[in-house]
Amino acid sequence: MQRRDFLARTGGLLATTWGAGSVWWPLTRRALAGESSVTGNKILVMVVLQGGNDGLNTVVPYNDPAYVAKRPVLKLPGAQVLDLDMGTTGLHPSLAPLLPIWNQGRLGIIRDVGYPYMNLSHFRATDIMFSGSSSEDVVSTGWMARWLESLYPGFPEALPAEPMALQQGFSAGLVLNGNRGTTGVVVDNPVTFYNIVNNNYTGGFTDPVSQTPGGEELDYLRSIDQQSFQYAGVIQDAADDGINYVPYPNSKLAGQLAIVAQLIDGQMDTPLYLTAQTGYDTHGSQLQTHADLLSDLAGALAAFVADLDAMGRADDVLVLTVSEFGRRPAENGSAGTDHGTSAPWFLIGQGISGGLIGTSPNLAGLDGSGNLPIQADYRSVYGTILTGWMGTAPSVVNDVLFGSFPSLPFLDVTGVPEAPPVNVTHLFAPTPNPGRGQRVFRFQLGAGGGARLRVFDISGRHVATLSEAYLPAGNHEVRWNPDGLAMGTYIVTLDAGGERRTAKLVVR
Amino acid sequence: MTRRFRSWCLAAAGLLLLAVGPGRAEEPVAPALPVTDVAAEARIANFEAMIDARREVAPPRSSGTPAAPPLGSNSVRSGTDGSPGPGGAITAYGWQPHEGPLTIEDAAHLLNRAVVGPRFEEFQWAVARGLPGTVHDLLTNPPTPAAPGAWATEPVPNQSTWTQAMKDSLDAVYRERQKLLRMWWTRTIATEPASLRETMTLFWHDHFATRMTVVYTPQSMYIQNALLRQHALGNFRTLARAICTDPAMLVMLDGRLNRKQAPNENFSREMLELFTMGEGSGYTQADVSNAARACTGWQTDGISSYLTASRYDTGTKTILGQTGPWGMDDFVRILFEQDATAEYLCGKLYRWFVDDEPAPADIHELAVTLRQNDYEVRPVLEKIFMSEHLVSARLRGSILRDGVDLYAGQARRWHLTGFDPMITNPLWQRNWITNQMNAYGQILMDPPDVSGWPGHRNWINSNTLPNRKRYSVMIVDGRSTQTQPFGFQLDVNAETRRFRDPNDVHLLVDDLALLCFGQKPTQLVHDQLVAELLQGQLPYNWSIDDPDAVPRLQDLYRLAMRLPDYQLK
Repeated sequence: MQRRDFLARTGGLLATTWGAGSVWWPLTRRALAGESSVTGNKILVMVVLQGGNDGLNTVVPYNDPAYVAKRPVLKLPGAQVLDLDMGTTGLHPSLAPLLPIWNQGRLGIIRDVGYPYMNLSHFRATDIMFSGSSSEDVVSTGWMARWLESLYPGFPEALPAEPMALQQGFSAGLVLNGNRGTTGVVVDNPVTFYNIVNNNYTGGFTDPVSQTPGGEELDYLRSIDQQSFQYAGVIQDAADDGINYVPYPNSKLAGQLAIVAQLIDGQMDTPLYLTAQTGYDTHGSQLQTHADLLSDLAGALAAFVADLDAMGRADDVLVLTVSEFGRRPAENGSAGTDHGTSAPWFLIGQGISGGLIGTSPNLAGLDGSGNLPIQADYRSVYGTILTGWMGTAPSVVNDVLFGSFPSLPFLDVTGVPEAPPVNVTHLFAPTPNPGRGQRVFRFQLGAGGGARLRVFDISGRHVATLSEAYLPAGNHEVRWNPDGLAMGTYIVTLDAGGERRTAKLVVR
Repeated sequence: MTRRFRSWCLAAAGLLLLAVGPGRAEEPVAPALPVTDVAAEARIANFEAMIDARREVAPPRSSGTPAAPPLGSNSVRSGTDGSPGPGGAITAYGWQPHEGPLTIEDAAHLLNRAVVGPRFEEFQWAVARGLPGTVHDLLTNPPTPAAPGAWATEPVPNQSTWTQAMKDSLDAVYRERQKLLRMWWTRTIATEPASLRETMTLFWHDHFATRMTVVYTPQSMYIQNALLRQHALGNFRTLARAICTDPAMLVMLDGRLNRKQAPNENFSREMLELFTMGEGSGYTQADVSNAARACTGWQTDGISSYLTASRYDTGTKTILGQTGPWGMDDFVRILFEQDATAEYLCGKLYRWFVDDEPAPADIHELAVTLRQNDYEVRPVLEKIFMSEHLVSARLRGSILRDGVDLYAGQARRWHLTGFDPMITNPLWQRNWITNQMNAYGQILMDPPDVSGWPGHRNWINSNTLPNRKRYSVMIVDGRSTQTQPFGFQLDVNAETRRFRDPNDVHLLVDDLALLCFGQKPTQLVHDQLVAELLQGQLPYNWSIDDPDAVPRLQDLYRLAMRLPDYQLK
């Protein structure tokens, strides 16, 4: 096996533009060797919330009378939730560690993510979510695996020098199953992994396998053997080089994310990391269990983001939380909730435009089983990440996801954002944002009528009214320079047709 | 009649109701319910208070290949979206019996499939016995293994007057017994006579997957394990009905919370989806809900189960097109009137014993056999193990060994004297087994969730494969790298002397492969193993009586365990 050449950090340092400002960073082996990341250094970190996270108690429509009526025991009172948009939506109090990230405009919350005819079996729903397929299709490969195979066309005959994906915390299942092979490694501890693999390696294989089912299984075993051996050294080197810059709380998820951060700091050229948190299937006695889970989640994510900031890789990393389904709005007789349909997914990153995407859950429009309709197809989330963040060609993404799905406006764009459907009232994120100087505030009215565009600070104090008039349907634009304001985050609200849309404005 | 005797009578009557098994009502009649038993109610309340304070919630299902994907869809091997694998449509082989004698290669393959950790002398015995005799013996129940202790069936003590300290003390005792129970089963698998019974007990445990961390009470888990063993080679429908009201299952899937006033669908859904018909086989959400109502009212005190009248829904339910005042017995009856049930189970049996890619016609033929024999599983197993399809050379090495095959099977295969993970002082053996259970992702009595272990290629990834190698070679050393000697060690000298000719290096290596790989080695692997043994020596100089033979044999055995071929059977 060709070990990665150990090119020692040279005495001379080279300035790079990673992270904010101009910093002297040591040369990395990868940079010296001339290899470049196939995703331009972009990394996706997925956090799987296993069991079906109760979205309604995570991103809470706390003033909706229907919410209060359906959850006599489980409802979270307004005084407890962390308000996000002045009176309609609040976060579960356990998510307090995420508030700084929210205020910086780095947390995007996509509401009611799901797909048509959602399957309420954990097992099947998880497979659907990981396979990127529709409810009716049975697909045994993972969408991430198919995407990775498009990035690395030589795989598996030419194994990439570094793992394409690294998974912790749960068994691989189909998520890394590609059409051509297993596209990632499962590693719980980089340090011991290296020793175990190397002490037990028996060498490469030159003879072909027999053309029988047994031969196919042997072939699979050999490929795992070979991948483990090849990557053990790579992973150990990256773990040796990387460190954590901040302390992490004491939870399994935090432990996983700490290792991910360490490997990222060690410049491992892996575009995808998978971590998981179990326990969300709260059929009974939900309140404390859910609070504890979200507390672990928020603590781990906050530490991870702080670590990325400290190491200067915050621009490169996007974190996505997923769950196979949400839970039923009405609580059950055991102070818990049964399986439901759609639920919010979180996106965290420097490249996120931040804010709530979608409207309050439609508790008046539940289906025959008492479950919520969806607002965003989960494949839209994946598709937007792949095209908008990773820069994968749309045609490739359509192949990966078996079709094309509308983009969602959660990524920071300095150009013209994706247009929403014309009959929908929408407030675009102001541009440039964050920034200084004059900003453009664009909004679209689904129907003509009175519209009011205002700016508030995060305590809810009114700062400015940018527009207040009867306007026709269609696109409108206002320009305003907020430079006189104190630095920080502000909330832009559009009130029109009895609905409110919000967006974040960051003043530097 | 004293009050105690009367309540004993009522309890016995309740148990009798269970023991008699599913009543075959000729027409829909609501079941007669026992009079509410005050003593039983107290025990139930006491039990529920204990477990609600201590146990974990049932975890979600992890993703992976389906426990039984829709018939005819691709398996992991095909890798694409529903279309057949690279070989094209899967051929049906049929179940014609194997004619003629068994070679030792046939026997090695067959026994590696039937028994966890078969021994070399068992291959020779099977050759001598012939196939029909061997299969007959494999399908014969050995004596029931002794319980791990009297504690395995003792009632849960009444804790209503206990202090917290006393309750915590009992908790510590129960958690220790949970570990002992896992070790007891591991040791049982490693010491049982050659039979399909223990393999089928493991199969049923995976099928009716129940987690000790969710159930909490070790007695409940032991009782379920004994139930599975009792019916392992028996009747599927009888076992299924018994599982419905098994104390551990009532806790695992919230059957005990399911009552008329607040139905809980967890159990009825999984009964349809995982235990009988299988997902997508034609039942609807309405069937799940109606079935849940039929299953209402059951509770347990951890040892026995009771039907409580006030909690039972006596109304009319429509399940799979049949309408009536159905109870648990009828729910099971209706499920076993569906063709899908036999098809589903036979698909699982095929994937467990034969191969990961069944042809629908082959499963169907097994299902017909199962139904024709009123759900007795022996005739189906007999068909499988007598078949040319299974015995033939085509399927050698096509099944990936699960974790139990390694940590329990190796102890059996190598006659490890001194192997006793139930020893509590020192704990090195227990720790060694526990570490493997965790490293391989197969903790006995703790499948990841109610759909069991996904199995097959899910066992092998970059984490589990190196660990399998690492722990296996410790048997040759008789120690892990860190701790004291285990107290057992693979006696390479004694084991090799069981082979056909320990002084013939080629035959020696082939026999080792039969044990380790379930088949003869390829020429390259054969040569590799011979080279490891001889270390440059000439073959005719090899003698097992040589003073240098033991370290050479140890190197040979270690290499065999480190080859990927070791993971297949």
